[in-house]
Amino acid sequence: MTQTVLEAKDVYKIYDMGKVQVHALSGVSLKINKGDYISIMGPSGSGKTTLLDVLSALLRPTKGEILISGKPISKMDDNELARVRGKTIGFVFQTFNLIQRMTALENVMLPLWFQGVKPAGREERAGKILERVGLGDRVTHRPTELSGGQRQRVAIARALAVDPDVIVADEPTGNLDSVSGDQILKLIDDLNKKEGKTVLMVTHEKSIGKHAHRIIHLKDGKIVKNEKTRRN
Amino acid sequence: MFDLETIKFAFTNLKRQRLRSYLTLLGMVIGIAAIVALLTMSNGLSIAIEEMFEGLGLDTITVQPGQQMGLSQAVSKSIEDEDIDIISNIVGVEAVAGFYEGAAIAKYRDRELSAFLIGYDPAQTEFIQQMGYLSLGSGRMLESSDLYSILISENFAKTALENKELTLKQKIEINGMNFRIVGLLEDSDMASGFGIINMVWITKNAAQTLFDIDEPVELMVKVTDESLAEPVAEEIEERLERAHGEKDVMVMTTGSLLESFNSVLGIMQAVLIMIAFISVIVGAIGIMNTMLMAVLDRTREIGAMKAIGATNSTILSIFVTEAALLGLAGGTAGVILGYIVALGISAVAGSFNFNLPIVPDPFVILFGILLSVIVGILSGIFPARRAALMDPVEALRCE
Repeated sequence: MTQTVLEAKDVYKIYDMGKVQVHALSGVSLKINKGDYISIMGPSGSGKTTLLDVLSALLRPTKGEILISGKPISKMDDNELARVRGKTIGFVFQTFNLIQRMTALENVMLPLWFQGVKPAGREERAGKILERVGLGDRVTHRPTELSGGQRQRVAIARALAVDPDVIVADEPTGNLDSVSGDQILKLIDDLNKKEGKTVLMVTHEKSIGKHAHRIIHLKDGKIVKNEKTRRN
Repeated sequence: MFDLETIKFAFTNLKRQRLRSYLTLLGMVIGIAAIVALLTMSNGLSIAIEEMFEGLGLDTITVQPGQQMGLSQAVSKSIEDEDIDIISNIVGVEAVAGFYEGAAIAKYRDRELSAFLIGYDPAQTEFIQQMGYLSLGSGRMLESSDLYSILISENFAKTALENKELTLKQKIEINGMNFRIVGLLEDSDMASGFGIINMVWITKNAAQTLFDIDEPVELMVKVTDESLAEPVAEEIEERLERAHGEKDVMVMTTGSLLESFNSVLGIMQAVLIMIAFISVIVGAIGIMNTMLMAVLDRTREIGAMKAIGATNSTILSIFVTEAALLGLAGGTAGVILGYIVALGISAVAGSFNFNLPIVPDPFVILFGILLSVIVGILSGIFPARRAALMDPVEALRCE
């Protein structure tokens, strides 16, 4: 039986901008199962990033419910949500969002610290993961001493540190050249195929979207198409 | 919450902060330095005063005219010569010395000098010396038979004339009469500690017969044992009140003098420290400003940390710890600077012959550092709360 890791039930996200109300999401329902590889695509302003934020519980919906492993987030307070999010979801951002002051290893250790892993275990685990993403020889480098592609690998390693079920990536190749971008996509593909990670990725490039098993097309805050790709 | 790792993390953050943000720590450094310097110096002052009074001896009693300490001395003439006999008759009194004081103009050739005459009974020389006065440098002390003989301090001898020193056996003219310098007193003399150098010591006999200073301005009484100081002082007060018909003298033991000096010092200390606290408040605003800048600078980082599982309280403790560390740094620098300032002032005081001992006090050090850490934490709470309550999505999208 397939296990649902993330689920959106008739979700609305409405921003009150004073005179006008902006409906970023209007009644989105979506189930993401363990092992899925999903791309969210759509024109800018279609709500794809909002959907990603809401699904990954960074943002609470105005209406509707989000369930993480079957548990509704409306019943969790902010601190509990932070813990559940930290444990279940690994984030990869377009702009990496690494902490510049810290080495690659320290960056990867950070989420483990937040999860309460003991220091010795943290370092070992972070080292292994950096090796896994091909940066075994760059552990003591700071982000400024790394190329864009390498930085994104550190970010992926950081996302993987707590062994989350889901990897959420917002335009992960948006700031990379095509060679590095391809390498990052290959890494994400592997995580899904070889390690069974659920992947949820926002992109506006068709060629990248096609890496997924399913493409969710958004327009004006609504899902207009839920398309299976040939990769499935 | 404030575990070693948060402290380590906060420390890495601070290490990479821009230099300008540390400039706002100056207020804190100056405030703590002022407090430490003031506390240390007033401690030194109180030690110095205590030493002075101990030199005076805890077995001595001062009798002064008037009802309030120090004020009416110059105008009131309520002490009489006979009081010396009255006091001498009290059981437990070992010696009584009267000081017959007055101002005079001294002349050496054409040079006029203002002089402060002090007449005393040479029979009491030993007692007066015990109190720290009249330490002879050269020449001899006065004797009861002396009339036209004087003692002056070496310092006065050196500085009274522009290009010439006064020396032993020289004659100077006071109120038209010629006096001979028979002894020079050392500069370590207690009186020079109070900054009075133009003292001219004469015999009681000379004061009464040549200068018409008939009554002593001040009496010093020595008791046979320290424990008798208080009861004898009370007895003196009673007997003099009966003899004069009114309560017109102040009787103080060295112990009570010391106490009143210390209480004045305490009030002074409190006022100065209040002023220094204003500086600490400025320092607190500085830290708050630094932390607010840090929160703004690191908005995206805060968003990222929240996304990867940092709870609000984790973020809060990180920023509060950073503020506490800033306070610690400011406080430590302040304590060090405070001691340097105190040592500098002590050196200046030393060059004016005033001994101001500076002793590092663990209580003062701890107080300075603890105060700055607490102020740091308090001023860090508001910026830290701002960081903690940030919306992760907005923080991440912040440019």
